Amino acid sequence: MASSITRPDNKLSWFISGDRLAVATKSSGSWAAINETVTDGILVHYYGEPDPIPYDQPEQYPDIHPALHSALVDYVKGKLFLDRAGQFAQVPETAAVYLSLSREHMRVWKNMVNRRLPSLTTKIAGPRFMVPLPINSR
Amino acid sequence: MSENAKSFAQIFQEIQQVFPDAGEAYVRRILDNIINEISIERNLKKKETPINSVDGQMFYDLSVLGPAKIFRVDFMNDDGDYVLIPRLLDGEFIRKWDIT
Repeated sequence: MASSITRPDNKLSWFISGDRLAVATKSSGSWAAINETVTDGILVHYYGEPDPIPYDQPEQYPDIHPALHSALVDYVKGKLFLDRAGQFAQVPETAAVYLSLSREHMRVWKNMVNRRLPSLTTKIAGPRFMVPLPINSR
Repeated sequence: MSENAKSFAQIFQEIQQVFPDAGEAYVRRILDNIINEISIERNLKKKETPINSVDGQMFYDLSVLGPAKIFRVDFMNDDGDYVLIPRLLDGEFIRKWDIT
């Protein structure tokens, strides 16, 4: 069922208060609740958590940009080498080798996330130009 | 899916070449944690969810969404289309002093 409001953009506003969304309308100078009961009337767009990898579907792709999939291998290896370094804490030379391997894999991961990810995920490319106003509009 | 994409099975296989004794559940947990963390930190996962509007109710609970950064709210018009509504930047002040 649709609402009875023709131009919600002129009549309604929203704001966040803690864990709650407020949708309000201006009514005789004050903000008040709306007088509309509409199924699925409000559509909230947000950045949220991705879906976890389903246990029964290992062929599923991780819910993240494909450019990061290879780097995920490096991240996990970095963590596992760190675990192994901890297991060999009594043998400092061996632990040092595992630690340096861990750092190397983490360096690859961080490099991908910090330097390459922003350029891989954007859909805008090429140089940007300042376009001056037409002479007659100055 | 692009050719760079790797399924969980492929990722796990690559890890097992170096760590044959790595547990699947442990690797899966490490992956889920970092994917969640990086997605929230870098705003990588856009989602949308509909909510029923209720007559006379101003506040709607969002805790079911988990960690979420709301960037846009639409309201259904009389044609059944969703229309972007503006955000009140000083909502806290209005909530305390100006709500009837």
